[in-house]
Amino acid sequence: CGFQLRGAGSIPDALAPLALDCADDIPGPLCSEVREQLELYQLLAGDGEEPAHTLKLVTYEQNRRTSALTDRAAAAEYEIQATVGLRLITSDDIPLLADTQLSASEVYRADEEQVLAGEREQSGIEGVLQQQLAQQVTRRLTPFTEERIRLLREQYDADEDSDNEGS
Amino acid sequence: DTAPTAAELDWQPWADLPPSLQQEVPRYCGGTYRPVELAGSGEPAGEEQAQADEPINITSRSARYRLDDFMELRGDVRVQQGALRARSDAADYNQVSGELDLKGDVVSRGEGFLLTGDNARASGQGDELELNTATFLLHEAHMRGQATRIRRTGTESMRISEGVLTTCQPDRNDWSIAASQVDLDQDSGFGTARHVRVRVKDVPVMYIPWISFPLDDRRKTGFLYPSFGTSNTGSGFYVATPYYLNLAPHYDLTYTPQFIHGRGYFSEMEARYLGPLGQSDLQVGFIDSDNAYADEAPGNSSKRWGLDFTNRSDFGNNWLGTIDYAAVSDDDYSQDLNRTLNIQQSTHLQREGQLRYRGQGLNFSAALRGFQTIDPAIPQARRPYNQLPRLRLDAGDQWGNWYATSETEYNYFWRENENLGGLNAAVGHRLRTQPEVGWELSGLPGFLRTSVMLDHTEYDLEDVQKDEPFSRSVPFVDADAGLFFDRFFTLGDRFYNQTLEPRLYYVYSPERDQTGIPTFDTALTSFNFSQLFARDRFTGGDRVGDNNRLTAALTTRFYDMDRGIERARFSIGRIQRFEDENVALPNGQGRSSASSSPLAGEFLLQPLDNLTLRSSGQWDEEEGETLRGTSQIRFHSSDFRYLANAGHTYDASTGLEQSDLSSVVPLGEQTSLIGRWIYDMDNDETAGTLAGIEYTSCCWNMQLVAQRYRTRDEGLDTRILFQIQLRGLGGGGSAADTIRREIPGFEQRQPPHSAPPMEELKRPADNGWP
Amino acid sequence: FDLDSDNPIRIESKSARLDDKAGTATYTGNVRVTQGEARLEAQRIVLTRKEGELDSLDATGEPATYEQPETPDAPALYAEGNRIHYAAGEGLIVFERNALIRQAGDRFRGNRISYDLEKRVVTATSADDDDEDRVEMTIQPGKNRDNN
Repeated sequence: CGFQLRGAGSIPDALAPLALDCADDIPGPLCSEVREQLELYQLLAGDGEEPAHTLKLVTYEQNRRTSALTDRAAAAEYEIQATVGLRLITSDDIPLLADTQLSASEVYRADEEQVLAGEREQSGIEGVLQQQLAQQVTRRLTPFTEERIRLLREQYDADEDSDNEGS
Repeated sequence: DTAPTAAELDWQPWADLPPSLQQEVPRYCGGTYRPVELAGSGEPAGEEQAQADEPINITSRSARYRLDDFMELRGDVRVQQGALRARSDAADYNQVSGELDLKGDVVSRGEGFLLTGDNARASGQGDELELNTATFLLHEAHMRGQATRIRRTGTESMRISEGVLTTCQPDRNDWSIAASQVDLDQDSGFGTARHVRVRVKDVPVMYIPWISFPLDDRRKTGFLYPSFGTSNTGSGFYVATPYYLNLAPHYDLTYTPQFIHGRGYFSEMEARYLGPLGQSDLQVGFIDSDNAYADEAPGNSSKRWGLDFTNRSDFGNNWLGTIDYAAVSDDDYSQDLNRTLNIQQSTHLQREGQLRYRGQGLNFSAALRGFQTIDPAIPQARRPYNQLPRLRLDAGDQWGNWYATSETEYNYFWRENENLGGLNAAVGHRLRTQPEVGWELSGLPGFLRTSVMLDHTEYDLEDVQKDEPFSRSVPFVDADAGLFFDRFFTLGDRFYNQTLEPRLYYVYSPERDQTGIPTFDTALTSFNFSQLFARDRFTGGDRVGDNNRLTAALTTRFYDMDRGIERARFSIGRIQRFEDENVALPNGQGRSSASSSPLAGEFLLQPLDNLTLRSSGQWDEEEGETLRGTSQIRFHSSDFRYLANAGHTYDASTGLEQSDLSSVVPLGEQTSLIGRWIYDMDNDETAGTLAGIEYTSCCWNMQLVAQRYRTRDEGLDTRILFQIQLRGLGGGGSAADTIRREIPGFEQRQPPHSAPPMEELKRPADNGWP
Repeated sequence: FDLDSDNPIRIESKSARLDDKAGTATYTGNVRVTQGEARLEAQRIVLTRKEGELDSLDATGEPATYEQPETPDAPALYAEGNRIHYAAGEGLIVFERNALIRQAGDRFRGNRISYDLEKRVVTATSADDDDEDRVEMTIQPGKNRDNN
């Protein structure tokens, strides 16, 4: 029915060699998971290899909100949302993907009588969310074919010229 | 007619703005200030000549100059000396004293400000300028005003005597501040004012002896504007007027005295210190004679306090330290005095001091952790243990396809246990280590991972019968395998990639009798799709489950190849148990004899960039009933001004069923309605409602929020919070801040007053010098 | 020029024409008038005498320039203008059209600048018919006066 085992194809290698740059507050597991995925798709620039593009993980935010209340007004259910901000630029600083926000969320039961266990469960869920984010980040690179990069570059240069005339 | 004020000189109506600025400046602001590019302002600031020997450049229609003595200038006089740049109808310059008297229609422009006056005197080689019957404009603070006298010293500070100032646009007087003296210091970014009368439409409404306020947003401050509100239970009507003391560039203090009807004077203080290693933040609240609380129950002292200290320190080469310490004098403190808009009542206050090292393949942390339980209804036996200390060491390495990791944690668990018996009274040491060796092959078509792990734990307990040390060892073997299939197709003009991802996960661990082990930090994790692949059903170290089960799951995703976004995802999976699971918590949870788990599924749809539907749940198809389910629909307009969210959650095991609807509806450009409604279907009653209106005008915004939420024991509590924020006089916090966490998407909204940066606003100097 | 000093005034020019009846002397072509260090140069200079005394001097040039060295009581001075006019009676030197005076770091430019010799007062005015025309000055602050 048209399915075949995944080959290289699904993420174009026009971006290779791609450097990954994680800001300080990006959690370790998220950064290493994205690095692993880029290696899987043979996109990652080797050490010492001059990168043609750079993927920057810029911001990471986690927000826990109460989505249900017990009858004593304590939290009965939490929803955690993890959001990563990323930017994709060429080696000469042309933005292919300006500040983009990707997020993943999960809902889990809160129990005010199991505080320590609740903390462990939350950190477990944070790990899962970071896995999901890593996959979303990698997938966000799919549109960048040779042709799309060229189009973006031309458009950028055109804007650049019109800016110079304008001011 | 009278000469134009400084604000009118630089004001450009919205219609005349270039299109690029029209997008950034809201139309309801009527326009914006556009400072003139200072001719020659480009000269490098570095080598500025010492102000003393700055030559004076003057042009006028005519001039009479007695050499070395005196000069009279007439007719459109323009003067430039150092940073001073001014014009007037006439000017007299005394060369000996260096004083320059400007008369008639005086206009003086500097970097970031513009001044006008009937007459003025410049002295000290243009370093000081004093204008009479003057007006001023600070471009970045969007602040204008007039005064009997304005004295500018140096390029950064200004003293305004008998002045009136506002941040409203020239033809609006929605609010203004009259003060006997205002000092504006652009260098430190702060202003202070004395004998302040806050006026609405020129009618004085409030007197404040002294107020300080930020001129730019360099220093994100707490809310600095007067705020007032009421609540029928808890804190009654209150008025809070914060004072901001900018003690030094790296530490400041915000003192907020507050009058609460029925309780008296409550004062809050927030001190922030930016040390070489990191930032510390101390918040203290104190009320001396809270009679309402004292009368509530005998033995209640009327002195109540709350404390919250946080610190972040970076010791360098990967060592980080954090301290979070919170404490209150009594259980109802935050409910009565701390009028946040959080819907849930916090039940525990955390205290933790932690030192962390994060290196390549090695993480270490040492922490002292504890809690203050402030919900009296939580029984002693269910209160959290203190971890004094908790030490963690995780290490890992890889060789080709092999990997080895070890997670080790030592805890000394302690809590009050006089009136506790049996296992609940237990305190003591626990050392748990989980060394693991595994082999992994992962590639594009799929992955295969298998590993063996030994979960070994040593206990040395006190205050229990069996108090000689014992240990528990549970070996684990698991295997995880998955394949990825792709199919590409087009739908309309969009190019899609559908994936098919089957996955199998097997785990075996023998049963160990753990009935004699107290549960310090262990519970059953809530069951969801990702939980299908977890190694154990328990979280925490006091129960290690017996497993002999195989998980089978299938996920299919639809990727929009042109955007790289997952438009849809459907996942379903189930656990097949080959043996009964007997290890359980003291309350029996965790035991299961069913050969297969309920079906667990999840789906996510994102048909549009601003519409997301999510649902996950577990079904028991024999009884054909949902055991647990949560679903959400999220919509937001592209500018996030219109938001609509609906959520529903159901848990058969606890009987919890609640819906959570929230929305923000913009009415025109300036007004938004905010609403949230949580309905508890199980008890057939509203758990909480929030209704608010936010009005934004160019120089102030207002939030009126009414809230009815459950309280612990007094049924529903109504709180009304009315907050006015005078733009430019108060940075960050406002009611909107706490709403931010309640309504998904609210935090991405454009802040109401994001003015374009100064550089973009500058316009070329036409002949209208200065 | 200091008319009552015994320093001789020398005038050189390509050509000269004396008109005793009218009491005028007209010098044309690279005219240079010197008295000691002071020097006046112009294309054409007309001197008029009254009772043997110099009554007025009228120099025109593109521009006509006047230089006066530093004296004990006044710093050096340089001035120029398309027309320089001196009237002994009024004790005034007037520089017209693109007039410029530089003295001790101070600088004046304008359509018409007059310099009152005794009162040492400079008066600069712009052209009445052109309201865009302006007088420009650069003045060194008091402190620099003495060390120039």
